[in-house]
Amino acid sequence: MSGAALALRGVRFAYTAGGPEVLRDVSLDVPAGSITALLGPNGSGKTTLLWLMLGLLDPRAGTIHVAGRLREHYSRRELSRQVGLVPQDEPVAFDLSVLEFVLLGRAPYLGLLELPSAADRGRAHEALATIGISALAHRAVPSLSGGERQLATIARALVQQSQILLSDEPTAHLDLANTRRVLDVMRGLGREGRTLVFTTHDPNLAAAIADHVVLLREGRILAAAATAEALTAAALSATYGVAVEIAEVRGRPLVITS
Amino acid sequence: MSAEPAAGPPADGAAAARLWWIVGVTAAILAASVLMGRYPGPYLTPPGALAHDELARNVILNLRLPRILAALLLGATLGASGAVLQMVFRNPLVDAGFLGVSPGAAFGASLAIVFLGGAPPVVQVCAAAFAFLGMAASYLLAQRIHLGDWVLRLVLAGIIVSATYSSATGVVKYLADPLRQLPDITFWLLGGLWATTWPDVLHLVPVVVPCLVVLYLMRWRLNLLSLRDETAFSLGAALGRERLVVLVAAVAATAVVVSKAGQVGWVGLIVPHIARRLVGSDAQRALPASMLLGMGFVLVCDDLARTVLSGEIPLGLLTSFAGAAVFAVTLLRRQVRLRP
Amino acid sequence: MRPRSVARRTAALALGGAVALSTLAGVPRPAGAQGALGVTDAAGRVVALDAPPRRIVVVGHGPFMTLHVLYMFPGARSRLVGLEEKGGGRDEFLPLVDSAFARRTVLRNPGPEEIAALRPDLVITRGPTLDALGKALSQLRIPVLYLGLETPEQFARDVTNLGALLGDPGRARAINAFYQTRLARLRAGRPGAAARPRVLLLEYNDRGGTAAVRVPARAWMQTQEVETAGGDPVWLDAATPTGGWTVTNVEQVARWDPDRIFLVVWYRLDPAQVLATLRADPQWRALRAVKAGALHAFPSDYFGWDSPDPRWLLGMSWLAKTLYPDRFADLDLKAEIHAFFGTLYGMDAATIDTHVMPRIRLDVR
Repeated sequence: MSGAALALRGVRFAYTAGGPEVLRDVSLDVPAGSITALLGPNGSGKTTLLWLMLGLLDPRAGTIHVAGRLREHYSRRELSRQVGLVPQDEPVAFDLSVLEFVLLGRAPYLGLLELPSAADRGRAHEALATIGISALAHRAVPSLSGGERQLATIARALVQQSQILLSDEPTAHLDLANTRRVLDVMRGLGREGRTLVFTTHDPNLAAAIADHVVLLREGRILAAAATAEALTAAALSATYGVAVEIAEVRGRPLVITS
Repeated sequence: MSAEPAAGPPADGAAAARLWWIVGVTAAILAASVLMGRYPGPYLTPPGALAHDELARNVILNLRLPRILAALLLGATLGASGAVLQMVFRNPLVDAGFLGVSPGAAFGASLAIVFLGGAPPVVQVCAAAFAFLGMAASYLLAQRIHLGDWVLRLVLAGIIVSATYSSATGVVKYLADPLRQLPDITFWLLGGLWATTWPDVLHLVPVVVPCLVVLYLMRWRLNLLSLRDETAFSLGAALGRERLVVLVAAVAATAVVVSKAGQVGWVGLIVPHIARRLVGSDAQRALPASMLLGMGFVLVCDDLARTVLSGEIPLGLLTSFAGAAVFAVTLLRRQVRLRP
Repeated sequence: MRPRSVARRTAALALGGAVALSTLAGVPRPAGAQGALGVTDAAGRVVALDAPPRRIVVVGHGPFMTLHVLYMFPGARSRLVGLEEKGGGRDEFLPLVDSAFARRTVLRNPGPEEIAALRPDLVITRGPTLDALGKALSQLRIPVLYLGLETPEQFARDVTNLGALLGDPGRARAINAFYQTRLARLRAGRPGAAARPRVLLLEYNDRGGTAAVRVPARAWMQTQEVETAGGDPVWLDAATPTGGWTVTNVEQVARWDPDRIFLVVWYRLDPAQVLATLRADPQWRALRAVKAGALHAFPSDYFGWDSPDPRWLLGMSWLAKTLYPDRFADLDLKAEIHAFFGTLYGMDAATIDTHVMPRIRLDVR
C-alpha cells in the first residue's frame, strides 16, 4: 500500500439505496507518480470511480486510501490539498477572466472569509506560464476554445498544488492540435512526479501517455497493470465486446477495431 | 473562437479604478438627495434654508435622512441579493423577484399584518420564512420541469411560484380590514418608501447590515460557489453549508426590506449585469459594485418618486420602468450569455 | 495584516455603525403632548395645540367629508390653506358657502413634504388609526387630527374635538345640539322593533359597463341611517363588519324579500332612468317591494345623503318620513333642508332655493 497514491479495496457502489451496483468489488492501486488511465466503454463506471477517489461519493462497502491514509480521515480541506479535479467541462455562467478562474485553485488554502493574497496571484501567474497560456490571462473563460479551457482548468489544478490530479475525459471535445497540447502538458505533469488519473474510452489515448491502465467493464476491473501488459487485443476485446487489433505504427501501438 | 464584441473583462487596475469611481458617484448622489424634495418648494431645497428654517431642518433630519438611508439599504440589498442569486444559481436572468423571494416576503408580511397583529419582528420573521419557502419551491420545481435548459427552467419555476404568491397575497388583501390594514398592503404591492421614519430604519438595520457584511466578507467565495458542484467540492468547499449561509444572508435581508418597502422589482436583475460589465465578473469586485450601484439606482429612483410630481410616484413603478428599459438595451446591444 | 483580522475589524465596524445608527432613532419626538388645547381624536391619539391653528390643511380618504365638517365652523374657512381632492371633479358645493374656495391650494396625492411646504399648524384627516402620512407628519412635529365620522356618536365627538382645537367650543355645542334634537325626535317617533319594516339599501352603479348592486358594511353610516330611521336592515348577514361594499344580486334580494328598497344611485347616473330600467327588468319587477311601489331612489344634492358626509342627518330624516309618513307627518323636509344649510353653513334662503333645492328630488320612485 505504501507507494500507492490511491488504494481501493473491495469498493462497491450504487447510486440509490436498493439500486443496481455501478461498481462491484473494485480493488486497485494507483502507483504514486504514475499516469494511470481508467479505460472502459460508456457506462462502465469510470466516472463514478473517479468521484469515489475524489471523495464526492461514499462507497457502499470497501475502503479507499489516499496517500496511505484512509480517505475518511481527511477533512474536506486536507483532501482538497491532496486531490485535484480537472472535470470534463466547466460551465462558467459569467465572464470570469482566466486569471481569476485559475486563482480559484487556491481555495483549499484560504479560510471562509479570506481573500487571495498577492502571493496567491503570483502562483496563479506561474501556473499559467507553466502551462504556456499566460497570454490568455485576461480573456474571459467562456470565450475560450475547448482546448484553451481545458488548459486553464489544468492550470487551476496546478495552483491547487495537489499531488494527485483526477481528470474526466481530458480530451473528449478536443481536436487534434488541442489534444496534442493537453497531452504534452499532462506528460509534463507526470514527469514532475504528480500522480495523474484520467478516465477515457479511447484506448489510443491511454496508449499515448499512460504508464498504467485499468480496464473496466460493467463496474468490474478486468485488468490493472502497466500499459504494455494491460493493453492486449484480447483484454481490449473483452472490455469493449468488439474484436480489436493492435497495430504498430512507428514503434507505437495503435488500437483499431477489426 | 466565438465572436466577442469589444474587450473581455477589464484589466485589474481599470476594474479597481472603476470601483472607486462608483463609490464616488454614489456618494455624490447621496449628497444631492439630501437637498432634493418638495419643501419649501419643488425640487431643490436651498442649503441656506437650513440655517434659519427649523421646519426645513426637521424635514431633512426626520423625513429625508431616514428615507434616504432606507433607500440605500434597499438598493444595497437588492443589488447584493441579485448578484448572489445569479452566481449561486448560475443564471444571469434571476433576481429576488423572479425566484419567488420578494413575492414570498410580501405574502408573509401581509399575512402577519392581517392575522398576526403586525408587530415588526413578527412581520419580518414571517416575511423571511415565506421568502425562503419561495426560493426552495422555485429550485425544487425547476428540477422537475422538463422544458429547456437550466436557465429557462429556473426562470419558469420562479414565475410560477411568484404568481402563486401574488394570488395568495391578493386573497389576504381581500380579507383585510380595508380601513385599518388594507392601505398598508396596497402600498406594498406598488412598492415604495413613502413616509419612512427613523423607527422604520431601526427595524431594517439589525438584519440588513449584518447580512450585507456577511455577503461582503464572502465575496471571493461566491466565485467558488458558482462553479459546478464537483469542482467546488474538489476545491474544498463545503458546498451545502456555504451556499446556505450565502443564501440565508441574501434572502433574509431581502425579505426584511420587502416587508418595509414592498416589492421593488428589476433592481436585482439589472444592477449585477451593469456591475459585471463595469468591473468584471469576479465577485470580489462585482458584489461590492452591485451593492453600490443598487444604492445609487434606488436612490435616484426614490428621489424622482418624491420630487418630480406633487404626489408620490410609487417607487416600484419607476424601478420597473427604468429597469426594463436598461434590460432591453443590454439585450439588444450585447449578448447576455445564457448558456454557461 | 492577516485577512482574518481585517474581516473581524470590518465586521466590528459595521456592527458598531449599526448600533450608533439605532441610537439616532431616539432623536425625533412626536408633537408635544402638553398644550393649552388638547383632545383625543378618532385614532385614539392625543392632539394638543398651544393656540387655535391659523393654517389648516385637509387631506386623506374622502376629503370632502372632512371639509364639510370643517366648514360648519365659520371661523375655520379663512384658515384653510390647503386641501386634497381625489378624483377628477371639483367640489361644487363649497364655493356656494365660501367665495374664496376656488383660490385655495389644491393638493393631489401629496407626500409629507408637499404638505409641510404649506406650513400648516394643523392637518386634519379621516381614519380609524394612525397611518403612514400621520406618522410622517408627526416626525415633523406637525399636529394631525383624525376624524372618524362613521357613526352619529363618533360624529359628535369629532365635532367637539374640532371645536376645542379651533377655539370655538360654543359652535361645536350648537352643531351637536342641532343634530341631537333631530336624532332624538327620530328615535322617539319610530315604532318598536317588532313593527319595523324590512328595509334594503343598495348602491347601484355601472362602472366598467356592467350594472352591479352592492350592500354597505354593517358599521357604516348607511346602515346607521336605516336603523335610526326605524327600518330593519335585512342585508346584515351578507355584509362585512367594517370594510366596504359587498356585491350582491337580484336573486339574493328576492331571498331577503324586503318591504322597501332604497337605491343609492351612482352620481353619474340619472336616478329616474335607473329606476325605470329596473322596473322594466322582469326579475326586479317580480319583487314584492317593486310591485308595491316601494322602490325609492335615495336623494342627494351636490353630495349623497347616504355617506359619512354631514348630510347623513338629512338622509335619516328623509328615510324616517318615507317609512312612516303618518308618524312624521309634521316633519317638513323642505324646512329641514333650509335649517340644515342655513344653520350649519350660514347659507341664506335665496341661495338654498336657487342652487340646492333644484338638485334635490325627494320622491323618485
